[in-house]
Amino acid sequence: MIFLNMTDKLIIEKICRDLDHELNAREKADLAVYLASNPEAAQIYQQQALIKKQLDDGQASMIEIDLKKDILNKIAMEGYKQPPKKDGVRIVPGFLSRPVVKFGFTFVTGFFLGFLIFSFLKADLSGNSGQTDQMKGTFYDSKSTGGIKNAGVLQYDNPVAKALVNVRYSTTMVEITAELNSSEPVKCNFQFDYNNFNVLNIQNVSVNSQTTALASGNFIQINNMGENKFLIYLANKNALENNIDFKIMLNDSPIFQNSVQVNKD
Amino acid sequence: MIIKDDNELVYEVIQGSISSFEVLIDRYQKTIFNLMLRMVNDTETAKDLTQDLFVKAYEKIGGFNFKFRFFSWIYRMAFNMAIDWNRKRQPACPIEMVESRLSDTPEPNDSEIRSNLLHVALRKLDPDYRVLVLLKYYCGLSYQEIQETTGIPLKKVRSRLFIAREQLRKGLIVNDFFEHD
Repeated sequence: MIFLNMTDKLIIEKICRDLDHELNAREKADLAVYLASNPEAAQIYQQQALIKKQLDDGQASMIEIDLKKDILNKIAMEGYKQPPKKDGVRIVPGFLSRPVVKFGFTFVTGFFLGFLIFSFLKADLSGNSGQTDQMKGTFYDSKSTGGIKNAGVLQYDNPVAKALVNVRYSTTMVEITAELNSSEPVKCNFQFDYNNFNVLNIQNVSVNSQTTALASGNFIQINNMGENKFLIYLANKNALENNIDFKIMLNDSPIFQNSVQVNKD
Repeated sequence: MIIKDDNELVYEVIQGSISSFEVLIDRYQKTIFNLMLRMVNDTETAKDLTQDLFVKAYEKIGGFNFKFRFFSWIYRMAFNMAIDWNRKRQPACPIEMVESRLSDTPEPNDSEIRSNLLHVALRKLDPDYRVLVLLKYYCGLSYQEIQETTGIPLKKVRSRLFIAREQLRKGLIVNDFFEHD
C-alpha cells in the first residue's frame, strides 16, 4: 500500500485534503485502508476533523460590527476628495445622440461622399484609364486605409448571447468592433497587457441605457443587455506580437473565451 | 433591487459615488474586522485598523486594477496591514491573560470551551500562518483566492495551511481541547 511508505507529513497532508474534500475516490479508499491499519493516524484524523469543524463554525461566530459612520467621518475629516479618475479612459454613452455629433457626422459623411463621387467622375472623364495589365495595386491600398491590417474575427452564437468581434490594427492603433446581442445580462471582457496596449476610447455606437462599459489600463468590461455595437480604440505601444483576450461571462461563469493576435508581421 | 457586483461599485466610487463605497463597507466590514480581531487580539485596535483600512482603500481606489477582484484587493491590504502591525508591535492582550480569562467564564459548554481554546491556539500560531487560516476559514477564500490575495504561490499556500493545521492540533492537545469531545 502506498501510504505505508509515507512520511508523517504526507499522511497529515492527505488527511487535511480528505477533510477538504479534495481526494479522488482512489486516494480516499487508500487513506481509509491506511487509517484502518494505523490507530495513531486514525486518531489524528479524528482530531483534525474536530479542528476543521470548529474552524468552519468560526465563520458563524463572527462578531457583528458597524463602523460605516466612523469610516465615513474619517474620510470627511481627513478631507479626501473624490478619488482620482483614471487617465486616458473615456466612456461615451449615447455619443451619437449629441446634436453636435449628429451635425458633424452628417457634414463629414456628405463631404466624404462628395469627394468620392468627384474622384470617380474625374477618373471616368479623364479618358486615360490605361490597359488593365498596366494597373498596379488595388483601390483600398495600404495608404488609403492607413496601413490597417486584420488581426482576426471572433464569433460566438448561442440562444442567450451572440458576439461578433473584429480586430484590426495599424502600427499605432488597434480598432476593435464588438457587436453584442444578448437576451440576458452578460459581461464581455477584453484583457491585454498594459505594456503593449492602452485604452484610448470606447464608444457605444448603438444607444442602450441598460448597457455600461468600464475600463482600466489593461482591461475593458462591457455589461451588455440587448443589441449593442461598440467601437474600441487601443494605442498599439509596440510592434511585438501580442494577444488580446476576449471572454463572455454569464452569471460570472465564462461561456466563451478566445484570443486574437495583433502585430502578426 | 439590483445587486451590483463589487467592480461595478468600485467604478462608481471612482466616478465620485460615496453611496457605492458605503455598500462596499457594508459588504466587507464584518469579515475584515473579525480578521483583524483574530490578528491583533484587541477589539479597539481591530476597530481602528478596520477604519484605517477602508479610509486607505478609498484613498487608493482610483488606482484599482479592474483585472483583479475587489475582495482580493481589500483582503490583500488587510493582510499586509495585519502582518505589519504584528511585526511592529507586541500583542495588546497577552495570550496568558486570555487563557486566565477563559477560566473565569461561568460554566461554558463544551462547544464554547473548544471555540475559546481554538482561539488561544490560533493566537499562538505564527502570524504568517495564522492569517492564512483566517483567510481560509473566516473569510471563506479558496486556495486560489488566497494565492491571489497574498501573492504566495499556490503550492506554498497549501503546504503552509497543512502545517498550520498540524501546529494547531499539537497546540490543542496541550490545551486538552480533545478532552471536551
